[in-house]
Amino acid sequence: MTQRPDGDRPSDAAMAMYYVYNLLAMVIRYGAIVLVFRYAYLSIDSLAGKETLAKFFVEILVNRIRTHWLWSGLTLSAIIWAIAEGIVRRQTIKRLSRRIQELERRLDPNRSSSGIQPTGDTNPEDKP
Amino acid sequence: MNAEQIAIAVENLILLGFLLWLLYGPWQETVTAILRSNLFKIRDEIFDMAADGRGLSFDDPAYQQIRQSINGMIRHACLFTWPRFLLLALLLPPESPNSIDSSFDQIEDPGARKRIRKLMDQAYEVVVGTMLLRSPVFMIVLMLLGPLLMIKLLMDRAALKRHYWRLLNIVRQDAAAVSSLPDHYGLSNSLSTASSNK
Repeated sequence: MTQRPDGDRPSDAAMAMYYVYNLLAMVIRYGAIVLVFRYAYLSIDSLAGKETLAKFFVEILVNRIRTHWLWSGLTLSAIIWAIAEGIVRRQTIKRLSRRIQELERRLDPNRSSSGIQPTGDTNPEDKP
Repeated sequence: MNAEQIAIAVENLILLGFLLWLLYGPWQETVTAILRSNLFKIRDEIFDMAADGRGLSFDDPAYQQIRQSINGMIRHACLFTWPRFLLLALLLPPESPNSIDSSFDQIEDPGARKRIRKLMDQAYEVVVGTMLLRSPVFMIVLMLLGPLLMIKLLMDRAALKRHYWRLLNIVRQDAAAVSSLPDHYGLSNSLSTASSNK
């Protein structure tokens, strides 16, 4: 735990507002996702009685992706590259951070740690 | 609306969802990683100063306090966003005592004190930079208003310096407050504590 003098610590009221903010941010984030799905559903629902859902997806949406093959391909390539890059980065951080910790501890036995995960990711309990 | 128009609408909604996911998911993690990488660089330099005995040692309370402050910033790097920054700036008292300043004063060697102060200022600058990088809204606003603000500020260099230090002081206070958050901080924890208190 990070020990700091009380002067820097926000008051209880400030912390309460801070938690309310986190809650609001979460509601807005997930609310946006729900809205996107809702409007997508309403768009498809308006087809009821005119087209079958399978025909809509196979003939129209897939056809649109095919006609935009260059952009679709580039986007897919970028996603695959980003995922691979992230995996390699985390593996490298994990491998090197342990050695650095050991070497630093030889010089400073009371070495304090940031407390993030060995991969460099945020601890789940620290996430907002 | 015919099927083709609906397909375009659905396609745009999928792309909008993808863009939102990208901005508020992987992009945020990337910015956090950039911030942490820069803070690690600063922490390493301070560690090297203490290891070489350049005006600082590992046993100095000032060293330990400064390291803990950087550790706190690294740990809670994902929390440095401009809405939180504004909220904290409003909630913290304007003359809130800053313990990091007293840590600087404890360093006896003037050269080391100056260097560490500069490194900590760099850390706060990185925090400000990543807060801007994080926010799509802020980036758009900055792109629109940036040129006008720059012209105005460059015409008055004294004002530029004044604004810079004022901003840096607020960031210092905010950073100290964020890094003082308890480890097991989080909404879920606070809720579970509240329910267990009942």
